[in-house]
Amino acid sequence: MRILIVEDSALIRNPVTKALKASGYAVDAAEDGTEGWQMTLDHDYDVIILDIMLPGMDGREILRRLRAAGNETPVLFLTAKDAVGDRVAGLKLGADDYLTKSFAIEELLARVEVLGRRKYAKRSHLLVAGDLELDQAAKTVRRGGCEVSLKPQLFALLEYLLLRKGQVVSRTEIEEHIYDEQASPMSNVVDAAVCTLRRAITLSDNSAPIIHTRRGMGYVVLEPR
Amino acid sequence: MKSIRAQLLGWLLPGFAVVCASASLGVYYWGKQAIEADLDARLGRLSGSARLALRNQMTAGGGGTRTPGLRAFLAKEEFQSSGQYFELWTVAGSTERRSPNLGDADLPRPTVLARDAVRYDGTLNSGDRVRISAMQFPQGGGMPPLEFAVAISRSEGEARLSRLLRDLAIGAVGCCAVLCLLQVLALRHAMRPLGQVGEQAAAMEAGSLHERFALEDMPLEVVPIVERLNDLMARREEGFERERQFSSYLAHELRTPLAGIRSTSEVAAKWPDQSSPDDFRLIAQAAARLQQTVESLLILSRLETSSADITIEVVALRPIIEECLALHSGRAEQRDLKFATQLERSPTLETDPRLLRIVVTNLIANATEYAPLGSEIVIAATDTDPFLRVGNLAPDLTPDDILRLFDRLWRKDATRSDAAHTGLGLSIARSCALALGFTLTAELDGGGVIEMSLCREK
Repeated sequence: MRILIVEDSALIRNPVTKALKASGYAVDAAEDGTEGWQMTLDHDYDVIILDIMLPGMDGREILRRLRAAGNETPVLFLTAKDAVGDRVAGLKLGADDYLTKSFAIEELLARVEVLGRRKYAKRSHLLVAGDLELDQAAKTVRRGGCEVSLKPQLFALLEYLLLRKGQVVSRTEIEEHIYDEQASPMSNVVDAAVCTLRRAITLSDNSAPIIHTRRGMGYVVLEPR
Repeated sequence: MKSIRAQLLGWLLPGFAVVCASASLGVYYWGKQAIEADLDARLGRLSGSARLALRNQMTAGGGGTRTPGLRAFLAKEEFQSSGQYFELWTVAGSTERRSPNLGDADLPRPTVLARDAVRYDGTLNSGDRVRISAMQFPQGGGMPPLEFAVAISRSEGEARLSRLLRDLAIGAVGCCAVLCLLQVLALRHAMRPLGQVGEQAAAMEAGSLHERFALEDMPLEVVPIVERLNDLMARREEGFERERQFSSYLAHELRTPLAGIRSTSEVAAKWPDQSSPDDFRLIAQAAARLQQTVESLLILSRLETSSADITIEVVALRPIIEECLALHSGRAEQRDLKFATQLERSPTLETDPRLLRIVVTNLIANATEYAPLGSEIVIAATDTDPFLRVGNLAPDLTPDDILRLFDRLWRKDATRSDAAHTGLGLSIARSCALALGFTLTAELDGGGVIEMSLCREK
């Protein structure tokens, strides 16, 4: 999943970005409201983390514009404003969650994960396809009861494909949601990553294929027959 | 606790009772006088009739037995039963004739009688209280004067007087009761606006400070109080708003660096490979910013609780200004600013040099940080008030900003993204000035120049 964080304080932006990346998310960071708003126009994010008091453009204004444009991306307000009135005003404006500074990084990650699931209408943190199970909360993958070790980016790729189970996902969409702006993926990076992922989740010759290729269109995760 | 209504009733109700009683007594006295006058008038008429009867008698009888004229006079109905009485005395003082209704009783007789009537009160044996008129009636022919008396019973007048007294008592009590009721109702009506103000004031809390007391239908006497209350409410609301704003600013000033320190250290602990020396530099910066904020707040707190240790000395202002200018010259150079000083008439003050230095350095620091790049900062010191002026261009400031300029943690930049400043410098400067007995004010002229003025407090 791809996350955007718009926060003017580097002291908060940097560790949050690192934590999100370490948890397997593709992360873009903006340090002022104008840049953040521009990035929401350029990319389709799964979750947006917004500070309220931002130079350039206020966080509430960004949210208002997003909702006015029909963009339903889950938004989490991350702010020092902790008054009930501020929280209520933020939620009424269309924010999906509200976290006040200071916060535990684990709590932020948990909230981001919940918001990510909400976007794909999933209530459980378990994504299942056949005997393959991906636990979004524990960040683990098991197949046939055996744990599969995946690097963060492969984990994110599998998570995204499982979230879109039954739907063909194009290479562009994968690039958009798995790689952040700094990754600059080459055209064959997605194919190589999918190939590596297939190998990683194929534990034996009996393991049924889960990720299928649709030529010229992309990839799809299907329940094994 | 005293109630206005109870006090008014306490004064007015007895007052009304006294007024009603006095009025009743007055009417009673007037009535009594009228009855007495009526009685005397009747007595006069009766005396006249008696004299006439005696004269006729004398004419008829020729000085003999005075029977026919007097008989006709005494045959009147009034002399048969109680009401009017007549008695004629001989020269020797014995009774010669009396009206039948006297029976054997006599009218009280004065010792000396004259031609002019003597009037007095008496009581008959029957207990009937009477008003008597006695006089001499001269007889011709060398005869000694006749002496007689007529009397009229007081019972009718007294009965009228009793009725009047009873009517007056009933009237006074009734009038008093009606007036009291009217008073209670009038007070209740008149006091209702005050009661409403009291109820509204009692229901006031921090969340309802935006409400105001209605001036419509308010008695004129209460309007100044209500206006004052509304004024106080407005100030209180402004104070609460400033406190709320201060809390919000403080939350941001403290929480943002704290959140940064916490997040950076948590990430470094969980993903050590992700941490870098930059993280520690940022943590150190955040800690320094927190320290600066907390120390500034402590200074303000000490100044505002009058616990600042003030040592008064004779201080020359000019060296302090020059010292502070030197301190900020580096920053001024970075921002291409020019200091224009007018310090020739700089005064000598009896004040605390340490606090004065804090005021001056904060004023110059503020100008150095916020004056537009390449502009000029004017610092003028004179021996008349204001004894120090610091002026610089401030194109972004509005007159509304000037009102908030000295608020704790206020910053023009609402996003507060500039981590180098906390927004406490001018608050500290003003508090120091107050502690020294000076006033620090800011003024924005039409040309966008802000001037800070320091005066000896008037």
